[in-house]
Order: sequence, then structure tokens, then C-alpha cells
Amino acid sequence: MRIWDSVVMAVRSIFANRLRSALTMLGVVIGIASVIILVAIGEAAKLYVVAQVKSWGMGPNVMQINPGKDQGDMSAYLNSKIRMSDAVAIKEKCPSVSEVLPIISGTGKAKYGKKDYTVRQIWGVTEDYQKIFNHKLTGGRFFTKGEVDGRRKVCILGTRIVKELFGSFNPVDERIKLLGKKFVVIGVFEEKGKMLTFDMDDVIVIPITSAMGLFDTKGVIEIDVAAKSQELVPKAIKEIREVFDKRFSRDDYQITTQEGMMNILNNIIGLLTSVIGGIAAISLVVGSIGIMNIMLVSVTERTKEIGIRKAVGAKKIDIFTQFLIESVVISFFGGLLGIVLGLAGTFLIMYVIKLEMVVVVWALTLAVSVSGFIGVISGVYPAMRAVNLDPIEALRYE
Amino acid sequence: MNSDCVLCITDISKTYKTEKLSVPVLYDIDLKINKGEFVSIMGPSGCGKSTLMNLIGCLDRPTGGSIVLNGNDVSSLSDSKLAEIRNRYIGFVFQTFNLLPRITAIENVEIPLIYSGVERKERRKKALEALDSMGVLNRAEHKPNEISGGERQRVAVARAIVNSPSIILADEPTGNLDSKSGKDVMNIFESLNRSGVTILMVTHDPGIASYGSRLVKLFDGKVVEDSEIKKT
Repeated sequence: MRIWDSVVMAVRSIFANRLRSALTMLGVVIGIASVIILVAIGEAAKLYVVAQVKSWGMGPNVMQINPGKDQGDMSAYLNSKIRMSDAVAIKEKCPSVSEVLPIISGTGKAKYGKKDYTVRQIWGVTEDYQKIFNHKLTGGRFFTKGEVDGRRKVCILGTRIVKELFGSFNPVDERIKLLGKKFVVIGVFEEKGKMLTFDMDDVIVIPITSAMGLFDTKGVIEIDVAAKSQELVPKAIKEIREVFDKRFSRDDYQITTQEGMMNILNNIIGLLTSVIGGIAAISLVVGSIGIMNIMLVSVTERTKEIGIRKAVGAKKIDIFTQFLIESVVISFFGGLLGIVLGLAGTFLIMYVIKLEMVVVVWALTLAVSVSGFIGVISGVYPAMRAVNLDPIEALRYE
Repeated sequence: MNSDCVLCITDISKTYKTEKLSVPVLYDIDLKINKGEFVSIMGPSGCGKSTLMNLIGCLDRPTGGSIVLNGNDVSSLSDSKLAEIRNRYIGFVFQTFNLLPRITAIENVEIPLIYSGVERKERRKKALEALDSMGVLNRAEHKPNEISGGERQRVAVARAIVNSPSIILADEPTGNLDSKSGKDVMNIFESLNRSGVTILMVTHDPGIASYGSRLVKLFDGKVVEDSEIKKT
């Protein structure tokens, strides 16, 4: 007996019981669709994060030095031993480095007239800020080296601050109070939107020297360093370590490359994706049990048919393949339907949350093979039951 | 062994065994059926007719003795070999027709050919021929529940002969038919037999049995009579 004949036979018997077959498929359809949708969302989120980081201007040649041994060590940030002179040293002693940007940061209240607003991020930086970050101005100007050296109280506002304090009014050349100190607004940043949960427009940038006074600290919480090219990043790291190891212990600072940051982010999102996808995959198990259940019913129902087929010469293997293929076909079509539904669902969701649609080919391939596999798993036991029916008993069955 | 012997049953017995009980059903049956014979088997219920048919039909194995079908000793073959023998040498005709309800007449007739691996086109052709010879060609695309009982049985006979078997085993083939349809089916058996097909038929209707050329009577698991039927 040829496989093709078995497939035709299976499809016919599936169509003979349309409603039941459709309901049986549903479990696999839903399982596969939800896995595909969740994986696609995860992948889209990854791309989104990468795009966001890129739009912020941090190219692959940028690395970041932070106090402490691990990312997110808050006490190390508060007691940072890194000083502005260390940033200067990097600039002077590391030939592979092109730009160096030390950052001191804090939060505090900004006041204009009667209005006030608590700013999430006040960054003290140098005049090189825009050489590292792609953070353009829509009005006014950035501060100069002279203003940094002269500890001038000037500031550039993010759009959120402008909205809160000035409304539609042009803030350039106006005076605001930052933590009670007067600052002159000399520029306004373009709107950046949110990066993950972080509002990039809820920011005020001031000269690093002024920030030291304002926050009463000399501790630099971040030095962003641009290597002359991406290829020079490893060399730059070596040079930076040479400078820093003379000044600090290895526990006092850490260097993260942009690539490393991306990897960490991608790993987190990837982990989330697989956890959620795994939960969705449970519904596949349920679907598989559904198929097995229906196949068992079908074998019982068709006992007589099995008897007749055996009488006219069906071998055990023929009966086995007939029922196995039926189960595989149900599951496989369920998988295909699930893929269609999953892609449509992904498209809809991406349209609503305005992310780019990603077709994850490996997820589709996996979906097809998993649904086929489920068919086999769910079909084997019922098919064995069919095979082991005694033909005489089966023929007598009514 | 006679070379004309399609079916040589030598000394077979069948005992059904449960854990505590063994129930003997057939004892020491000897039966030789030659090519072209039309044998009617009669006997009261419980005499072992069905068991004998199951053994001859290779659906079951005897407890003792040997059954040689077309030169193949089938008494102790594997399940898959038995399936092959059924497919190639035996055509079954049942009292309740036993057609698959969800597929058409022609597809029913094709089933044995599917299991012997015949090509799709060839299958169609042979099935059409078989239906034609039974006079139900016009019913080829009908499902069993759309045709009459007599037509169903003729489709079933078409299925039985489609693979040119050595012997046709018919179990009460007219039992579920009205007398006219029953007569038609028996006429078909007669003409099949005239064209050289060997037929073994179980019935308890003496009128139907008389279509045969030889009568075998079973009683309590033993052959009690084996005689020629004289045509009037």
C-alpha cells in the first residue's frame, strides 16, 4: 500500500467528520498561533530596542565606564571613586579613543515662575555631549568648553520640561531655578520619545562642573568613550584598563561595550520570549491530548471498518499507517492553520502597537515540525489499538 | 496431494481456551475442495460453521491440523502473511454486506486492490470491470446507503472477486435479502461458479444450499454428511 493512498484515505475520513476534525484541530491551531505571535512580539521588541539604542547615537564603537563591579550596583554609583580627571586621563593617554564624555547625574526640582517640576534626570556633561549622543537641538545652542571650565549655570531642556514649565512659550534665554540655583536656558532638545520605559525628554543637561556644585559630588557615574572605530574597541579597552588599573582596583569600575549592552538586553528579552512562548506551548500539549482522545474515539467507532479492512487484506502496518497518518494530517493542517492565524495575529498586534512586523522563520519551521510531531505522538497509541483489534471480533462489532 | 485441490483441510480442530475453561468447537475436520466446486455448508447454530469459515478465511488459526490453501500451508503463518493470503486468495461475502458506509461503491471495490498495491488507474479499471460483471456499474458512484440491499450485496461480491481470488467464502449471503434479491445473488454465484470460481457458502436455508454442487453438513463440530447435490 502506498503512502499517498493512505494520505488520500486520511483526508477523506477527516472530511467525512468535518466539525469534529475542526474542533480537534483547534487545540493545535491555538497553540501554534499563540507561540508564533509571542515569539514574533519578542523578536520585534529586540529589533525595537536595537533601533532605539541606535537612534540615541550610541554606535558600536561606544563603550561605557561605570563605577562598581556589576551593572546596577547602586551604592557604587553613589560612592563613585571616578573623577573628571580620570576622563581627561583617558582622552590624553589612550590613542585608540576619539571622544570621552564624563557624566554626573542627579534629580531635582526645576522652577519657572510659579510652576515647578521634578526632573527625572539632570545630567552634568562636557561640551562633547553631542559628539557621543545623537541628541539634537531644536532651538538655541549647546554650551561651550569655556562655559564648562567657567562653571556657568546654563542648561538645555528636554521637551517634557519645556512643556511642563513653559507650555508653548519659547524658553531660550529664560531663567529657571534648578534645586534653588538660577540657570539660564540656552537650548532646547529635539523630542526623543521613550526608550523602553525611560523618558528621554524628561532631561536637563548642564555643564559637569556646575553639576558638581549642584549635587555636591565629584563622583562621575558614567564615562562614555568612543573608540576611533569599532575594530579598535578591544584595543581601546586595553588602553583604558592600563590607565584605570593604576588608579583603581578592578572592583571600582567596569567597562561595558555597546555590544555587551545589546547582548544583555537581547538576552533578557530572549529569555522572556522563551518563557512566554513555553507557556503558550502548554496549549500544544493540550491540543495533542485532544487529538489522541478523538483518535481513540475514532478507532472504537470504526472497529467494524477495521475488521472489514483486515478481512480484505489490510496488514497491521496498513491499519497502523492509516490511523497514524490521519492523526498527523489533522495535526499538520492544524499547524498550518495556526501559522496563518499566528501571522495574521502578529500583523494585527504589530499594527496596533506600531512595531515593525517580523516573520520569524525558525518559529514557523519549528511550528510545522512540532505539529507533525504532535500528530505522531498522539496517533501512535490509538493506531496501536486499531492494529491489535481481533479481525473476527471487529467484524462482529455493531 | 491433489493438484486440483484449492483447499485441503486435514484433521483440524479448534479449541477456545479461557483461563479456567477450554471449549472445543471443531474436531477432526477433513475437507478437500477442488477447483471449480460450489460447496454449501449447513448446520444448526453453534455447530462450528462460523469458526470453520474463520479458519478457512485465515482470520484465525486452528489449534491442530493443517489448512492448505492454493498450496500454501496457512495453519501457522504470521499475521501479515495471513493478511496477504486473504488479500490474494480469498474473497469474502458477508451476510450484512460489510461495505464501508462513507465511501462509494467503486471505492469499496477498490479496497482489496489498494492493499495489494495496484496502481490507481489499474485499480479503477479493475473495479469498474468487477462492478460491470455484477450488473451494478450504474451504482459505482453511489454510497452503500443510497442503493438497495441486493445491489449492496452485488457490490460486495464485486469486491470479493476483484482480486481474482482462488476461493469465495460466503457467509449467509442471502440472509439479509428479500427472496428476489437473494435469487439474483445466487444466480450470480452460479454464473461465477460456471466460469470456474470456487465457492464455499455457509447457509441454513436448504433452498439456497441447493444452488451448490456439494453439500457438507456440520453438527457439534464434526462433519456429519458430505454429499453431491443432484440438480433437478
